[in-house]
This record gives sequence, structure tokens and C-alpha cells, in this order.
Amino acid sequence: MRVLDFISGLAWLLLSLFAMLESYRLDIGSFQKPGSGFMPCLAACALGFFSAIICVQALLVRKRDEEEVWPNRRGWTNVALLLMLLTGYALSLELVGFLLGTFCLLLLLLKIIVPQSWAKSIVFSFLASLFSYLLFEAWLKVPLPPGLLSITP
Amino acid sequence: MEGFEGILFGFSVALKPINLLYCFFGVTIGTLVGVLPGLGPTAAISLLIPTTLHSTPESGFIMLAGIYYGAMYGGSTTSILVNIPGEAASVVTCLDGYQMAKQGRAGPALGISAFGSFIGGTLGIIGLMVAAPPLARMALKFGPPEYFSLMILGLTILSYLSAGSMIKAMMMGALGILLGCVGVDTVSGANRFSYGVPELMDGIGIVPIVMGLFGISEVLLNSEQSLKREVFVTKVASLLPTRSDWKQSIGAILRGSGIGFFLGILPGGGTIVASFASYAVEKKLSSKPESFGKGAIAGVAGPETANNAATGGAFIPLLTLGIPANAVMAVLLGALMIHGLQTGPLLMREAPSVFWGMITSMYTGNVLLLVLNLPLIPLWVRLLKVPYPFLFPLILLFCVVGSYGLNNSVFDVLTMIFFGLVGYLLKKFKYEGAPFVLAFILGPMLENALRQSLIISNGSFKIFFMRPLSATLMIIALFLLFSPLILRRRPTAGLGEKDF
Repeated sequence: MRVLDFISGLAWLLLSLFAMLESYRLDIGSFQKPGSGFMPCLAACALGFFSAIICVQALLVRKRDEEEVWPNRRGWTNVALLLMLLTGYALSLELVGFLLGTFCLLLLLLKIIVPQSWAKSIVFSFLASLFSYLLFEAWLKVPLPPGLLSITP
Repeated sequence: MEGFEGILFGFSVALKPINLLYCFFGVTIGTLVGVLPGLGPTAAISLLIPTTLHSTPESGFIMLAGIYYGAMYGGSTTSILVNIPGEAASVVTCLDGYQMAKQGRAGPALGISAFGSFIGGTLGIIGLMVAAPPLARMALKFGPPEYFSLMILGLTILSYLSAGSMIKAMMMGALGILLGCVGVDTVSGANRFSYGVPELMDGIGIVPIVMGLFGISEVLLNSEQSLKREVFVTKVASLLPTRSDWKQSIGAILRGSGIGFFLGILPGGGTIVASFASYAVEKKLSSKPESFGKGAIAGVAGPETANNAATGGAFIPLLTLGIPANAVMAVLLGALMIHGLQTGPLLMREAPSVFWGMITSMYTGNVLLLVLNLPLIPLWVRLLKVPYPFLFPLILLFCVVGSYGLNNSVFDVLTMIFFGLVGYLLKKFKYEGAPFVLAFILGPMLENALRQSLIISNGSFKIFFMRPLSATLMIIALFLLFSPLILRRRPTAGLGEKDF
């Protein structure tokens, strides 16, 4: 049995069942007059059909998964930390502001994910956040949140 | 305005000093994002869309188009020197380009890829100029069934050419269509799958999805291992290929131009499929197929030509039918809409300066790329020597700004992070992102075309087989769908994980 294919197929199958129910609630309509749920239902049916095939194929195959795809403990920690840092950064972006938030994000990335010396981390984070702010906000006019550093009258 | 008159008008627009400057910016930024792995043209274009609001539409689109084809030039540099494709369309260039560099022939590899890109890019533009006007006229006769069949064919081609399981690719297509349904239904006004979240009522943005699936997920994958990257230290001597190199490459370049252009036209075809198809053809036609993968120059020339020729082809469905062939075109479609321009067959008539200006600017852009890129290769190499621990935070930063900048929305950044995790898991479970993205892009158009067709036919699916063009497209799609069962094998294009 191919475990990875079976797990993923099952997950997609459950998602497709959920989407089918939701589409039904939205009103599928008829072939003559398709409703809001018509296309989602069709897509969900296709997803469910193909996921079922993947599950059955995974069960019938005698070979096991060929290679180890998952990272070691250190790898998992890095992936989880990266996601947490990015999510924290996104959630605090408008409150803290781009400049300060980006400086903190870069500093944490350089200290936690790829440990560098304090001096290198601080200098890089400062220059990169300042440069990106000047590039995007001042030059390219991409509106970025000022946050705590905003100057209000 | 059509034909020669249109071309002359286009040059009068493209050669204005301000537009030349925008073109220069575009191709330079494009080359830069092509060189930097993890940051593709989609991210760069979405980052720069807000800046086009301060310029005329033609200047803005000249720059955005320049980013797209410029990235194809830049992508080969990393493939050849670092064995890491800067751009997904240059994945296949790694195979022989890196081997050539290891044999001390990095110069001719970089040179032939630049010349091939120039020739392919130029022939692609000529094809675009010749094919776009008659296709735009023909597109006026397209009804909903033809649109639907064409999009189904595009999705089928992409699934057919995907590297792994075709069933998994079709699953991703179905998932893409499903997620494309999120938001307000334009026909009935019903809210679908938005669950009261205001940001979801407009649907999920393509930019956060693409950046998450291909940018963030790549960084997550890289973060699993020690973040070190070796740049192959070699002296890049003469960049000019020898006569023998040209002899071996010219056929590949000409074939790559044709393959790239025609595959570029198809929705779902695009630059990646073109480069893989060209490599497969060259290997098959070669008298020494065993030399491929060991530094065959035709294995560099063909794919690099094809991916540039495909950029010209990819504009055809967008400019003539209003159908984006890939994620970059979908972002460009969004940019055209922001500028109040109607895409499709009427664009040529209603905004000739954008239509012809953008097309002809690709000539000047290709010349600029050839002139600028060869001398600038040492600069790009130095850029690659920036240690990855300092490069990946910048890639993350650009992805965040790109997602945030378009709508000033933190929700978009969170969406990008979510799809980064989804992309990471998809790679682990061996699902491909490309069919998902194309189906997501085409989903709303596909739904409209299907609903309209069914209303016209009073609920009969026969309508797709009763009209000649629609029937032809459908039959090809069905043949591709069932051919693996009949022929018992499928020529996979071997698409990389980070398509688009």
C-alpha cells in the first residue's frame, strides 16, 4: 500500500464530500438552468471521483512508498518556525508597521532559522528593511503600513 | 488598424524614449527575478502593478511584458552556473547547461542560451504579430461552447503533460475550479464558500496563491536542509559559441522557436511545457542521444529558445480571446482590467497603443536583453554568490510585499502563507501546482461558458459536439484524456514542481 497516496486521497475525498454538501445547499439548479452550486458540485464530484481512484490504487499497489519524504526533527522545527514567524509578522504588520515589523522578522529569521552573529543579523536586517521600504514605498509607491512609526499631527 | 500599419504604429509607441526606459526597467527586473530562485515573474509583475497606475497604460504594460520575457533570459544563468533553475522554465537547462559549465564551457552555454533566447523571442513576436489579428477576428465568432471546449482542452493538455500521475493532475484541476468558485456568484449574487468573511466575497486572489504555492513553499522546502548553496566557481571565458557550437545548435534553435510558439499559444502550454517538449524532441532527433545530460549544447539551445518563443505565443490567447494561458497572463489580465481595458478581440480596436505598443516593444526588449545581458552575466554571477541565508529572507520579503501591495490586505498575506503550506504539502505528496493554478484562473470563465452553453442548448451537453470548432477541440481533449488507456503510455513533459 502507498500510505502517502492513500492519506492524501482520503483527505481530498473528504473535502470533495464537504464541497458537494455545500454546493447542494447553494442550489444546484438544473441542466436547463444551472444554479450557483452547479459548477462547484461538478468540480467536487470530479475531485471525489479522482480521489477515490487514488485511494483504490494506493490500496491495490503492493509497493510501499519509495523514499523518505519527510524532514528530520530539525527540518520540521525550521518549517514550523518559519510559518509561525511569517504568520506573526502578517498579523502584526498593520499595528507595528512595515519598517519595524520587517526589521524584527529578518532579525528573527537570521537568529533562529539560519543562526548568524548578532552584528551581521542586526546590520543586514536594518539595511534590508530600510532599503525595501525606500524601494517599495518611496520609489515604487507601493502603499505599506506605517504602524508605530507613522507621524500623526 | 492591422498588419503593417499596426506594426508601424506599434514602433512609434515602443520607440518613444519614455517607453524605451520602461522597457529597459522591465527587462532588467525580469532578468533579476529570473536569476533569483524562488522569485518568479508573477511575483515581480504583481509587485509592480501599482506603479503602472502612475504611467500611461502602454508604458506600464511594456514594462510588465518586459519582466515576463526578461525572466526567461535570466533563468538560464542560474541553471547553467548553479544547477538551480532561477525560473521554472529553465529547469531542463540544468541538465546540459550545468554539465557544460563543469567542463569549462560555461561561456558558450550562456552565450548560446542568450542567442537562442533572442532568436526564439524574436520569431515568437513575429508569430504573435502575424497570428493575433486574424485570431482576434475569428474570436469574435467564438460562442460560449467554443470558449468552454478551448479551456477544457487547455486543462487536459496540462494534465496530460504533467510529470507524475495524470489522475493527480486532474484532481488538482478539479480543486482549482472549486476554489475558483469562492466568492459572489456573478449570475445569482449568492455568496459561495465565503462564510461571512468579507475578503472572501471577492474570491481568492491569484497573486497570494501563486506566491504561496511556488515562492513560500520553495523556501519552506529549502529550510528543511542546511541553507547552503554552492556557486560553481569557473572562469566564464568567451561567451561567443564556436562555429561547431552553432552547427549543433541552429536546428535546435529553429525547432525550439516553432515548438515554443505553438505550445505557448495553448492555455496550459506555456514556457515550461515548451522547454521540456523541445528538450525531448532534440534528444529524440539527435544522432548522439546519449550525450544529452552530459553537456550537449543542443540541450541548452533548444529549451532556452523554446521558453522565449512561448512568451510571444502566450500573449495570443490573452490578447485575442481574453483567456490567460498561465498565471503571469492572469496577473496581466488583472492589470489590464485595473486600467479599465477590455481584454479579448476588442483590445486591438479599442486600445491600439497598448496592443501594438506592447507587442512591438518586445522586439526592442529582446535587443536590449541581448546587448545588456551578455556583458552583465558576471554581475548576475556575483549576485548568486550572496549566501542563501541572506537571500531567502529577501525572497520572503518580496513575496509578502507582493501579496500585500496589490490590495493593501493582510488577509492576502495570510492567504499566501496558507498556500505556502499547501504547496509544501502538495510537493511532499507529489501533486503538481500547475494544473491547480491554471484551473483556478480559468474556473470562473469556464463556469460562465458552461452555464451559458447549457442555457442556449436547453440543458443538452450535445452543444459541445454539434458546433465544428467546439467539437474538434473536445475530441482532441477526449483523445488526450483516454490515450494513456489506449496507447498504454504517456509522453510526460516532466514538469518541475515549481511550475509557472
